[in-house]
Amino acid sequence: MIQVKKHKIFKILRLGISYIVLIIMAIASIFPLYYVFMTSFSNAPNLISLAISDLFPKHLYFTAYKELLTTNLYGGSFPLWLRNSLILAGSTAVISVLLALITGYALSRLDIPAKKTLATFIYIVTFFPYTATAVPLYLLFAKFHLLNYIGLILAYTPGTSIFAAFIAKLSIDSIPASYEEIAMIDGLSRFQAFLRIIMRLALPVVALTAILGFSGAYLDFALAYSFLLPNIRAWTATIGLYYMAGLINPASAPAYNLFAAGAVIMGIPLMALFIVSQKMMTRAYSNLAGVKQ
Amino acid sequence: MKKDKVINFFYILPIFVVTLFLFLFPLIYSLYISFTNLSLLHFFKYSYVGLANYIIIFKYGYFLVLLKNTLIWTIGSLVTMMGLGFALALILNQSDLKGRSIFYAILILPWAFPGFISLLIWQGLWVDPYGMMNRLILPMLHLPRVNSLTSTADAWIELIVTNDWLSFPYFMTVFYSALQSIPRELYDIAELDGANVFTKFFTITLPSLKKTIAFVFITSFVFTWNNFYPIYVLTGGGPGISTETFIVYAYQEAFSYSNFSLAAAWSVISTLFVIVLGIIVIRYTHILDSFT
Repeated sequence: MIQVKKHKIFKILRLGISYIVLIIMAIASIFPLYYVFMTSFSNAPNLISLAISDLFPKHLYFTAYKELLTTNLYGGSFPLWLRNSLILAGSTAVISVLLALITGYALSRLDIPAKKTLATFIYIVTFFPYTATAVPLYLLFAKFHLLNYIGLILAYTPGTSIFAAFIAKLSIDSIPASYEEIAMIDGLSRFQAFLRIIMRLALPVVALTAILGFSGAYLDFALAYSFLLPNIRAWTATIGLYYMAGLINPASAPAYNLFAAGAVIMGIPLMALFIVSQKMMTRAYSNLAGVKQ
Repeated sequence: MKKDKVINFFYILPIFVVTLFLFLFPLIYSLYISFTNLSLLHFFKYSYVGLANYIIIFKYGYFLVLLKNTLIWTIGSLVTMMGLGFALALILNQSDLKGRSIFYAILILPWAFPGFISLLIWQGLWVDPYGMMNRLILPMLHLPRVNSLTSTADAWIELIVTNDWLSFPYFMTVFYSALQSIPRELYDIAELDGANVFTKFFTITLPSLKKTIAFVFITSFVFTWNNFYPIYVLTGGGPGISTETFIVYAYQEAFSYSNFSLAAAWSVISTLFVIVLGIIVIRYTHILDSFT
């Protein structure tokens, strides 16, 4: 009897502590996001004037959003920087998809000398974030006059496409080779068969690669900053945000609520994209487990 | 057949060329630059200076300071992140806990929101004395204020707490799915044998997760070692160089102080570390086996 009672007390205690920890962590997880969201609907021009009551407001002001989308900032403007980012990220996504699928196809289907060595060599590169190679890349690209968008796209592509190529390889493994063989007997060349059959059947990988390539380029700061800093009109939205947060030149930074509005505009769609890609990634890996059996 | 092999090689050629051009070539070029005195002062007429840059790095103790900082950053972040993620995974894994999926959906938000933007937000939160951390959160918890501009200890607290916030959902997710793959029956049998919570934890849970923990530890070690943005955005390596790591310092030497040759030397050193760590990962996790 005492044993049962003790068991029950222990259970209540265990669940009680669990809920307390979960609630504290949930509040901690939401707070910074909630804070920036509320700041973007306030009128606070800087951190000093941001009152605690602004976090629990009676009125929501849309002035920050209006201003952000219309005013000239430091010689550029947020819509311009956002457009630059979208062009950059879109191009990176397209090139990454092509490169990843061609490589994944080769790794999966084709007989290539020293395949394993090549794969290992390529794979090691994925350990290098752009930030590790930023200095060497800058020095080299300065020499070739590539401190521009073309240079940035060139630099962004390999990281994503190598990682994606390995996922593509696994996914192409699961497509029966007979599909292409039949198409090739029907008179398609290997490359045509690749385009018409593999690209279509590996569509989830195509989408995943596109998302990874897009968000990688869209959110990069280190390389874009080092390549584009002197040319304000060519800035990307991340450089714009960094500047609006007061980290380039605090004296010339615009109102803090503009930064908050920019953070919301940039962050929320990417957050949605992340959740989608997370689901796709899980599916890609579980497909794989199915094939292996 | 031989001709086929050559044609096949063309499929892998693009990525190979890009890799060489963007990885090996810059590395060799910066190795060369690291033996010169290229800087803003000598941008066009730089000359060979031998090992001068490396002598600066090793002779005046910068190397050891940065090594120490990088280790504090990597180990300090990893231990707390993994501990927090593991604890939350254990909590979520209790079968009689209600509302698991709601909590899980909320707890992965820090991971889902773009990290660089989160860091800019946190930078504003930590500003002393106007940021909300020092004005609202810390006083509410009766904790002392944090000022990363003057105190090295405070700077580390700020960096590691922020990094924990950014990364705990990843560890929670990985450990949670590993916990869920442990067969329920194991626990039922242990219960019949009269095992208590702790015996069950140490004889079933921990051994089943050994592989996952090792994999996550090694890959995250490399990731954290190379993690650039938290330090660059939050403290900028300050106060002084007391929170600089290899990767941040190389970047700042180049783009904040325009000391390109010294930055190149730092990049070479930090690249060597990354290669060694990368080889350890490949060796230990056999990650490439399933790919080739």
